[in-house]
Amino acid sequence: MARSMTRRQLLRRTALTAAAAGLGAKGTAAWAAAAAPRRGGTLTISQSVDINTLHPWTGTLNVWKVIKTNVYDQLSYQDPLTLEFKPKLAKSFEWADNNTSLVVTLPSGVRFHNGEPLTAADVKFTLDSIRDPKVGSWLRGFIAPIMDVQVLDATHLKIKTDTIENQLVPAFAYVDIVPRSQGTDLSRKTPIGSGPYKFVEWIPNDHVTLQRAPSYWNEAGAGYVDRIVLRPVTELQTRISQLLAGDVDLVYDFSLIEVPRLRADRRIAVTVVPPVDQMFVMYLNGRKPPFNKLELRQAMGYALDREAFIKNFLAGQGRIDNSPFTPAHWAFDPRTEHAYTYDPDRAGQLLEKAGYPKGQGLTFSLLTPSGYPEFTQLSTMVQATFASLGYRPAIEEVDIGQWAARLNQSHDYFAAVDYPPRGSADPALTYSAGLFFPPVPANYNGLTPDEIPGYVDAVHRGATLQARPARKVAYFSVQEMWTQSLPGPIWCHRSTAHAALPSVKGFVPHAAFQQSFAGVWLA
Amino acid sequence: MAKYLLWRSLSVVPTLVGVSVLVFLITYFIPGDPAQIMAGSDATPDVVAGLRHQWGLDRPIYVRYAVWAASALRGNLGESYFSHMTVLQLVGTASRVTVELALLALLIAVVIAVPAGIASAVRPGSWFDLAATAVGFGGLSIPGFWLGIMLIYVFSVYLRWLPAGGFAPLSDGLVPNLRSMILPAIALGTFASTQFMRYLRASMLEVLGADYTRTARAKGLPELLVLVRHAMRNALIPFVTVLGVQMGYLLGGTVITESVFALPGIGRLVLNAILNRDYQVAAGIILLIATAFVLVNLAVDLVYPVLDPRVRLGRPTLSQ
Repeated sequence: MARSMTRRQLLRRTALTAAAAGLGAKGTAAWAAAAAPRRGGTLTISQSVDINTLHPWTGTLNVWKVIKTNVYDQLSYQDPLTLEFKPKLAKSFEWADNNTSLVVTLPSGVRFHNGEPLTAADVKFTLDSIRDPKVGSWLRGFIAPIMDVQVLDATHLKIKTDTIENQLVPAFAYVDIVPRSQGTDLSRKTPIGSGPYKFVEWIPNDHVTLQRAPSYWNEAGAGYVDRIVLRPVTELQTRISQLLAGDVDLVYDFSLIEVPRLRADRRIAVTVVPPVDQMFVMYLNGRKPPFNKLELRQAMGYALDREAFIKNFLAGQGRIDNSPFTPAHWAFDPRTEHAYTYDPDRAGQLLEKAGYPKGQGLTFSLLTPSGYPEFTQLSTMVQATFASLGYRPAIEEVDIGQWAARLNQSHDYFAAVDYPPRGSADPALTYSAGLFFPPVPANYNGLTPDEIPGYVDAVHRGATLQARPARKVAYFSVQEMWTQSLPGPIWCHRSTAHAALPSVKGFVPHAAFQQSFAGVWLA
Repeated sequence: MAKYLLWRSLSVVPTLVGVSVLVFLITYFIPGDPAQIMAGSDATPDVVAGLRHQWGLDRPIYVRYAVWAASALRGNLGESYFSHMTVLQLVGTASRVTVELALLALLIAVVIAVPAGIASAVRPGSWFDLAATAVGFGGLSIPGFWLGIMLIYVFSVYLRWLPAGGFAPLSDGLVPNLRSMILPAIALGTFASTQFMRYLRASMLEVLGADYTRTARAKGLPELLVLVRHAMRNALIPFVTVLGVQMGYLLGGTVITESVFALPGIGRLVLNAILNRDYQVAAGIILLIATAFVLVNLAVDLVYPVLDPRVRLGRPTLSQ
């Protein structure tokens, strides 16, 4: 019987072709021989930390995102190869009512793992719950443009907005659909989703077990391996040793500095995701001196030798950028490419212009969280540049909880490195989510709506126009304004790396950690 | 004797009350905020404030201590802000791993230290004594985490004899369980074994030179009998004290060993609780560990009268 190619088959074929091209003739034969996926087996994955909650809407860790992607269905997903956002659970998204309603069509016959049918009412319950401030979900801002959610029938719902909101479909990729019978106190319950894998158990500090759902509504997206066991192993060397010893099948997301060593080891296969999503940035607290002065912020833009940072501390797995996007993204503005380069002399001139000749009178420190070596390394390089200009800022290394509280609550900091995500997302989401780009009261940099004239309007235009050329113009304008005012420098994009045993097939890594293991099988 | 036991047991009560206050204050003053950690750095302050209120973190410290201490007295040490499992549930699962690890490490340490310590003391200055001393200094100098990583490289990565971390519970079978625990136990027990060995050697040397040992020999007793009945029994009294204290250190040492070997024990549990500012779990576990430490030492003190009749009869010992 003739069958059209499913998304997963296409992905697998594309991945195999790409891998075969990289492996050469001998490798091609090996991959071709192993190209027929088979069911069964247990996929054991080593992750760097344990999850810290079972709540789908409040947990923020990447390790939890990975698990959720497999347990729950989301209305949309980001294609790991093209990075485009496409319908997943939803069959379609259509703007109606003079572009003030997004009509979502769902497939029929979808069931949650507890046997309950998934209907439009469950999607409404999920969206309404996330919008409820009492639930405390960090996703509330992602779907902020929603005014109301109306159920039309079991498979249709209407999402009311003021106008077209381009951030919604990408935002839905983060929204896990939960049965309404479960209520909102989800951190005390075993997760019930409708995804290809069923949540079995979480033994803190030991493992999370998922089991292939006996029947998945989308046969083409059903899992191959019977069980997935995710083990938190904090020690990097232990993680690598476990893989080399064959005790785990896949080490998910490890330090880039280990890439060259592991690539040289023929017992394992290393996959490096191109640097498109996670970006190294510097938050500059513009609420107080010295970074309330434009010249100081610009001086910071010239203070990092990014090439050396990427070469020495990211094992070359990064890309210098001044924009949240890379050339792979349709919204990337090529004029930002060389907006800021490493130029200590220029930084020195700007210090002088700002009234701090040779760093005299300058006072600031660099706040970094412990346990994030790349943050400290970047801060040290910036420190060295300013030291060469006459002022040596201190590096304050504090634990992650204190670091986040000082950035977010007390604003008691001057400058801090971070690597926020969403460089590969739709710009409507990139500029509306998080606390770096949107000029909200809690913005890390203290960015207010009036700070950069025209910024809010341009962001709004990009988020609400339908035609891509017009959106592109709007976002070029946003990027130009950002690089001129520089509330916080964007240094570079960072790759992510994963390593697996050769027996692991069909693994297509996701740049934004919305990692599906449904296509993975064991040879 | 009964008076001694009662006095020694009652002395534990103020110690534990002091420990509970100290533990609560320490966890309270660690900078950071569990609500912020849970909500993530992207969360707006109102989301963080909501979580703080939900978890009672916005109440005054004395109220929080009173609530916690009253619950603890009823055997309820609270629950994790994150997993929502009770502290006792978490400890119940994790303590099996840690107690097994600590006991295995202690066993390895004793099995190495007792014969080596006695043999070194019986023939001081011999090649064996010199070798044991050199190995002992080596064992004291090697950091546990480094030894752990080296053991993994040798026995797991290269020889592939044993798993590179992870825990197999006894329900999986004794052999898989021991295979998963042997390397961590060696890594943890090595340091203790060298300490025990040197302590026992010194203790034995002192006893072997004592008048009563000389008298035993002069009576014509066989050397083995002199060693076992007269020397060892007396040398073991300070050694047992050290064992009790070392058991506490072994339990503390599991933090690093469990992290290196990815074992889901108390050490990792408390480390993660501190990193996540999961105050209830951190405070609960530290209180339990402190209680265990105090009780082990109490047990050691109660064993003294069995080993030394002078304590039982309330007579002064030589050191008094």
